[in-house]
Amino acid sequence: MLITLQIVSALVTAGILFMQAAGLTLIFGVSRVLNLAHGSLFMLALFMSYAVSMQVISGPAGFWIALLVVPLAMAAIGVVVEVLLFRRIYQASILVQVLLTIGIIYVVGDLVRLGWGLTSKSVPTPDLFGAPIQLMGIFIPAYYAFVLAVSAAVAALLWFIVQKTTWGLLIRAAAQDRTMSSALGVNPSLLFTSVFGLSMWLVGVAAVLYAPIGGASPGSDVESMIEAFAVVVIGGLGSIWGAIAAALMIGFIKAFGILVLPQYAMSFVFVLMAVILVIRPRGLFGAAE
Amino acid sequence: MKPGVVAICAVAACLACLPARAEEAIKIGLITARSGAFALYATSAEKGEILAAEEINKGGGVGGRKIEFLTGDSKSSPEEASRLYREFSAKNVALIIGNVGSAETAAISALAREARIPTFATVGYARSLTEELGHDYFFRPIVNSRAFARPLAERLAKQTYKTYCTINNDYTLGHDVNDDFLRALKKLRPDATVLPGCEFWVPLTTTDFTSYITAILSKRPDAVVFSGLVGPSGRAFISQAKSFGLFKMTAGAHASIGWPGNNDGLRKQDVPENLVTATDYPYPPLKTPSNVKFFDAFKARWSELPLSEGAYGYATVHFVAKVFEKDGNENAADFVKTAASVTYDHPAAGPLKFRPFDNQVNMGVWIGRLAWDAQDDRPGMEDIEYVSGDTYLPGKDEVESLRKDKGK
Repeated sequence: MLITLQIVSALVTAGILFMQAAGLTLIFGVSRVLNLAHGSLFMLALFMSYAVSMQVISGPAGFWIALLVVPLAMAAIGVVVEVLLFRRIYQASILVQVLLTIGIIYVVGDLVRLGWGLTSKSVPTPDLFGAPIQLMGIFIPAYYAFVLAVSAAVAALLWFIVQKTTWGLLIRAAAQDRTMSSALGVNPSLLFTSVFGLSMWLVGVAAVLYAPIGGASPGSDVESMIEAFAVVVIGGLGSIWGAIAAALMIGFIKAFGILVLPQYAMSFVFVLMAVILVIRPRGLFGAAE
Repeated sequence: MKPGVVAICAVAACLACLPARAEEAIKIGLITARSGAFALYATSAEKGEILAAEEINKGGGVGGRKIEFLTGDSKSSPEEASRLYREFSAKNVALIIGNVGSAETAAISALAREARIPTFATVGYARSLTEELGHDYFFRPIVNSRAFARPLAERLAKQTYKTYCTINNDYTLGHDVNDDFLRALKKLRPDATVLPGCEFWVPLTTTDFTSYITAILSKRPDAVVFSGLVGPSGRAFISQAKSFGLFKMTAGAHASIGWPGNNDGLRKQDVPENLVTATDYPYPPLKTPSNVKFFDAFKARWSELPLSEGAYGYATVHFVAKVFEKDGNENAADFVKTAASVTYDHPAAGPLKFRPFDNQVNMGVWIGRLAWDAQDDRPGMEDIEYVSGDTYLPGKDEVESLRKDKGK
């Protein structure tokens, strides 16, 4: 029972981590911009899902409408941010990119403060998932099983998009060699904008699913940024498979580290990160420069 | 002094009360953290203070003189709080109230020692403020952080619980609260132990507790104590633990999640079955005449419910008005002498006293179980009992020796 329970909790942690980090790695893979404001956009999406499911529509339908609306709104925000800001800095030095994304962190932080104040908000679990369900001989909250299923579905959807569609082919081509792909007639602006939109859609899905678990709090930007970066560094910048593998590793290290040496559990993830950086600096699945 | 840097306004300048008197108003400085980490608590305190001043002014003032506030926003920063303190003391205020967190309170208390202006703190509960750092001009009209350890330990020691797990945020207060509690528990119940590998420390902003909860589930302790999980961490842990059914198997205990400011935002379905906690202002509100009067007035005046700090701010302004009235002046030295002989009428806890040797009020806490207060539609408590401050506050000798050690 002990082991099964810990496996389930590892998978749930991994599912949420993967959805948080997938967008970050996609954007980097295609545009080579490290979006430090990723966590802030995740926080914004958390508060948006609170707003939709609690303030605009308070009722059992709120969660489902948020699940539909918030990711689309985030995708729209992503498109606007890409066109207005990111598009100008793809050729700029890394320092300019860092400055811009740090600027976004402050702007989003203040927007959230203006809109929802300083206290953290909680979001109810949808009624449908009120009772626990039995899985592999143990009881787990039905909502966690739902999160697990959705994150698996999102991973499959991403795999399908990247591997089986023309769009995915272009994403892979641009990730491999940006100059060559534009020389062959790929419109980079359109591709970058659409990838940014897709990434923010993923952030939106992750946030709506996470809100009933962790709530929306003004400090969640930092926490989620650190975790998403750990996933991306371990998995390799730009690699979807890396993000899946790293999220699973972190989930299992956290869940079982807690059992073995609870007082050091938090540092295990960063120890793993350091080890990976020493022996394989580009991450598990990262492309060699 | 730069004009316009801080909005200084006579908040309680009476609108519909006394005919104008020749005498000058009594000026009190309010330093309030209107923004930053303590804003929620601090603004409730300030609202209580304004309400009390309005009541006093409407009733004829203090010996015919009105109370007037000078106010400023400390932005939850000790530097800004200190700057406001100097500004107010230059304006010859009779008294200063700090509606600010512990670090800011320590900063203004140090200034109060020099300026010799009676100074009250309605939000800072760090133990040291009235112990190592205390002095004649600093008054604490609220509980001391010792209230987090002993009353909870006593309540749990009465149960059959022997095996414990602990989970707390990894920062100074989290460690202090946990250590103090375990020390108090061991004294009362030497057979109580923390299970090996069941003492968890999580970063301050953690909101995903899945792996910790499943680990605790598999260790099957009698009780899990998480007094040092604060803010979003505390609420997230409670709602996730409930969804895993943790509190059906294990008792939960948190020293301060019953505090109305701490459980603000917790939803009805998150309130677990078996969570022992304490509060310094109980919901549903106690039905004593003084509390009903305060509660109704606060709700009517501000269209919101008072937090503990609202009750403290209200009682503090009424208290200082009584001392000024008794002295017949605002002399600081007289104030300090008279304070211990005047009762501090907390709306819910009733008449209390400032202890003359440390100016700490002997306020206690209510201990009970977390519950849903349907009548106010917010979290509250049930099965509560009052534990007096006299049971857990340090005695005169202990305070003196703490101060002496500090001086070395």
